[in-house]
Amino acid sequence: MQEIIGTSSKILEVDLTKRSFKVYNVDPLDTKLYIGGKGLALKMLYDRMEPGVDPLGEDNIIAVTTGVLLGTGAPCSGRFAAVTKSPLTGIMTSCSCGGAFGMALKTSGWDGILVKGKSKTPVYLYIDSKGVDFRDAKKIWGLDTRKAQAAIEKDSGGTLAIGPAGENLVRFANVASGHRFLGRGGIGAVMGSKNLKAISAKGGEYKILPVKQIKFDKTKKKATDYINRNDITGGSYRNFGTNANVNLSNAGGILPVKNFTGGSHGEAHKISGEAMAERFKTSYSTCKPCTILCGHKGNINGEIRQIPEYETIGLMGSNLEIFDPVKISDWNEICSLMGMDTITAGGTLAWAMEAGEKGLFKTDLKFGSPDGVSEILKDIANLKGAGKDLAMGSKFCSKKYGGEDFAIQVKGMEMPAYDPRGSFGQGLAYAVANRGACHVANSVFALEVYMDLIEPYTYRSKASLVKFQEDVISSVNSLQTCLFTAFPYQLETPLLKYSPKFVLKILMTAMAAVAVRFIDISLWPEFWSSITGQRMGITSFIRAGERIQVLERLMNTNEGISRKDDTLPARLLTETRKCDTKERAIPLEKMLNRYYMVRGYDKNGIPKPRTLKKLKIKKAALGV
Amino acid sequence: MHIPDYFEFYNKTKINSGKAALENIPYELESMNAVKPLIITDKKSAKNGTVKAFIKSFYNSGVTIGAVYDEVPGYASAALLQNLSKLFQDRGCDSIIAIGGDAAASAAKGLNIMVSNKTDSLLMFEDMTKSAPLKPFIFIPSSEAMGTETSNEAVIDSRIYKSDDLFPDLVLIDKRMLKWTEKKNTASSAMLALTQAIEACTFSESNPINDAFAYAAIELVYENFAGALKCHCNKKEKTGFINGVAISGIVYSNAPEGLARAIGFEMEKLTGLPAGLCAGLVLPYSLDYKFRFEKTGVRGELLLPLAGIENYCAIHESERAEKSVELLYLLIDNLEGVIPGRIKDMNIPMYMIKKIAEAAEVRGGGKYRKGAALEILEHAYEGIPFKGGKSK
Amino acid sequence: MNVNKFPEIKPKGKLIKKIYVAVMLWIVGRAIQAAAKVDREVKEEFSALRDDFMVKLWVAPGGPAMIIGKDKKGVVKYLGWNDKGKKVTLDMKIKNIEGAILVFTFQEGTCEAFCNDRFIVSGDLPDALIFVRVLNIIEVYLLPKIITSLAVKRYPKWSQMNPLRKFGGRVLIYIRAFTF
Repeated sequence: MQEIIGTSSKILEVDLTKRSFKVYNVDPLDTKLYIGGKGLALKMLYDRMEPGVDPLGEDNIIAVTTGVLLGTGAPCSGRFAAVTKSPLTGIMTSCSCGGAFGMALKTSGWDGILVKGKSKTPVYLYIDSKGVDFRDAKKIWGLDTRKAQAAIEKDSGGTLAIGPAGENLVRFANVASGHRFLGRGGIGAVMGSKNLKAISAKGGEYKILPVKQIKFDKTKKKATDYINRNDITGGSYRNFGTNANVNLSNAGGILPVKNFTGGSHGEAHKISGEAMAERFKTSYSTCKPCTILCGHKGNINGEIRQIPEYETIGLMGSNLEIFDPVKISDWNEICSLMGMDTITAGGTLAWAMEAGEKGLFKTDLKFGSPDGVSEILKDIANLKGAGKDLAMGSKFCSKKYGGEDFAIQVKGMEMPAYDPRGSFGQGLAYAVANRGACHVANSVFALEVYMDLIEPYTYRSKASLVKFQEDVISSVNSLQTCLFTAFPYQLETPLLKYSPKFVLKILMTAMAAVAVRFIDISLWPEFWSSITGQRMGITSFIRAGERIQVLERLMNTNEGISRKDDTLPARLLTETRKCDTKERAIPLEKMLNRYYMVRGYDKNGIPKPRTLKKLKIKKAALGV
Repeated sequence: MHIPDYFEFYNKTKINSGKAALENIPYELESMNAVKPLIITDKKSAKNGTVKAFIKSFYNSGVTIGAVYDEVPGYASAALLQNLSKLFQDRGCDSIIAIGGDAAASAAKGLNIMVSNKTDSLLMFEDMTKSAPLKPFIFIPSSEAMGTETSNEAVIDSRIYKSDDLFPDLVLIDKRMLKWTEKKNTASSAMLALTQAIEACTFSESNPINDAFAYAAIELVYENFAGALKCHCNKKEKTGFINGVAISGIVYSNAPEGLARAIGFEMEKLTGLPAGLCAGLVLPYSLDYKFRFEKTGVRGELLLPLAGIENYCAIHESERAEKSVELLYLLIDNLEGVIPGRIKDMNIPMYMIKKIAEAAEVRGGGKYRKGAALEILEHAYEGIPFKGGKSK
Repeated sequence: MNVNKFPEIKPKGKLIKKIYVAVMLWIVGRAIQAAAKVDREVKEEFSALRDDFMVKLWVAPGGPAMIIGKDKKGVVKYLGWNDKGKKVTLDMKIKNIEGAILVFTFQEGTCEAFCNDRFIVSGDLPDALIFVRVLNIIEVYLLPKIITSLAVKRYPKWSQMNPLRKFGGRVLIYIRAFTF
């Protein structure tokens, strides 16, 4: 087996129209500035794509990139990223996935793949170390994600495949790799629009080795220790999966109930991770490699199925007032097979139910009733009946039928299962997150509600905190490793672990901008530098995250995004929930002003030229 | 003057405009047998002192204000109406005053139907002919008003409710209510008012009374627009301008919706940009298209309010229509720096244009010539005037 | 929704403006009574009116008022502000206190205010017009030219030709108005 020391820095550029490919060697400077993974993908799209491209047109490009960590055996490194222009939101979307495709692509010798153009007939790509083979996909066109993968995977290490939803251009179609998904923003629809059913990689041809093996091993040991020691990653997530969040959210009043009209529910314990672990006798079913082990499968109705993740439980369960895990699991299966994002699907269904209740939209769906949900999910995937409109997402539907104030979306993307009324920082995070309402660009809710490290009901210091978190997470997503490593890598460091909690709370609430400088996040840059052999400190790691964040923002503002889009649904800004002890309003404007200031955006939320210069964001001249 | 074989014109709106107009509200309420109004407005008006000035005008009148609801978002929705209806009934109000722009006015109109007919939901109520007489409704435009408020339309939850009962009983224009606003907003409302008025009077079956109103609206807007835009302190121009905007709503209600307006509103839905701006940028092109390629063409009389009597007389009858189209192109050119010159500069991608055109055609329901919307939008997108057709 | 978030608003009063208007009305009322004796033109105007003529000029709602009428002998008299037991034949109501302030601070002339719909008149319109004319003459007498010219449509020519009548009349009217 051949070896790659560090990273290959080779990207495949595939043109489906011409059925050709070429190899692009990444500029080493770009690797340093953008780390890899999501950051590099964004940079490559920024160089190649003009603003105003039709997301479902030929000119849109899908970038699937692997990070530096993948393949080296670093903890929780089995993840890869995909970036494209979303048909749901019309702006950039970036997703992370833990399926086997990433490892297969990387061990075929490639750091990523860019797909543009449009094939005339259904096609799938087969990638090995020699390049790309364009194979006919007529036979697998129309198959669900699982069957399609099974049909291909005989001679490959990992596959990305879309289901019928992607083929039918459902705006929130996702892409499956094993039982993991590139979930949000409709990457599946983009693949469908290119007549690209799947991308498969052979894998196993190269071995990835770090440049500084000893340093790497040391870092890895420390990281593994931290992960095992941490309560969340080594405890609740490992035992109960992400659904351990249900009880925490319910207690903290941020669990969405009945289309975000409530923040907690008496029956929520039924769908908690603890209850499901007991009921379904769960065992691990995770990304590979993984040290946290949050993914679970279990015996549901005599069938071994993947246990739905927290977002699915939240949006398709409590948000529809349904507390039957079996039903939710059924719908999760349908979404998985059809290839649809469960968050958007759940959010759109909740809108449909409420609009039906109010008489705006004709539907038989009702809150609290599981009847007809399976059917409508299938209808959405096949664009039948009412599903045709719902397949466009709740923003489109609310513009068409009315009910904008209870279409819980930001920039067209439905909100995940954390209600910002119980966590003001998360409100800001949703409003400014680049791809729309997004929980993985930022997880302030965890600090505010789960860990109680910051006062949730204040606007103070939220802007700096959100900025810091976004920068760190952007970098982590570019490395690329699991976001959950953020808990142990930050919290298990001596300073944070042994400081009294109330001191931390006061420091974080009163002067977050200063406090975050004391957070030791050195593990991530250490991984990067031990693998690539180049130097990277905490400052340049965070600066890289900031660069990625601002670059994505810039690409979005070029598409017309501005302050007017950085907002929250009217329901969240005006309505008070029953679980709220006091009438509060999210002070979004105040937080926005501060956020723009610390980010270096102008009043309209557009990055200032000075900021771009400082971060060295420049469009590269290609093909010279 | 053009007179069709048959026409109808309806307008029940009284306009009070000028010095100390606000202080007349208590008297007007009394004359409409109302004693306790509910005020509906948006946060911006509450913030910039408009509402304060308004409440001051009630001093010494003995009229109690039921409540000032100042949380109207950018659009009117069923949930908002529920809240308003609750407030209205809780306080035992008997009349509605809306201050601000389109959203407040739409909400007020919707609320009026609900509370007058004592229904819980507007959707349960579909036939306006069976409606009970509506409560007195006064509208006070702020600087953000754009001319849809004084029409007989209410847009609630993206649905259009249209009935002649929905005209405001009184529109009150007072300089104290016209606070500072961004230039873009002023430009946007001017554009929409012009679009509404011009499309109403170039409509082939337009009637003489509506034409007269439309010309008044065009002239008022066209004359005072520059002054209102130049400085917020030009109160007289601003008052004149808002008068034009208010009249344009009445004009629009008495004519079918034109293509530019339809495109503007569909564009707003799809892109979130202000409808007025979108409609305004499309207007010259849609008029040009009409002038060149449609049999009915554009009447030369349009030039009169745009150019004034002297220039009107100086131009030969056969060239007047073309000249007025030219003037509209010029208007947009002159606004450079305030608004983008073409749709392309508004960051709207080309693929959206097709969707907008389709949506506009659906909105028209076959009223517009097929393919016209797309052709107009394509020209407006790049900023290329039409060629060929009737033009010499 | 929390209804209490949007409280009921009871508007305050405008006491100073009210007092000002009340004082002005009193002066004008007394002055008319005086002028009806002193000035020939006013006398003529009033003689054209019917015998039970009584005008009430007041500010809505419930503001200060002024009543002027003819008594049994046909003499024009200022009858105070209370119309109880009196039969008002011409009711002139100023819509609001701001309108009254505009008129009585002479920012808007009487005729102009009339055109701007600041008055609501119930009664004979010709009577009302006569009364407005009388008001104009009174203003000429009471105030210096520089202010009066703001308030009246045309400053009468006779005053320029005959200063004796103007200044004499002014002195007489002032004396009569302020002595009981």
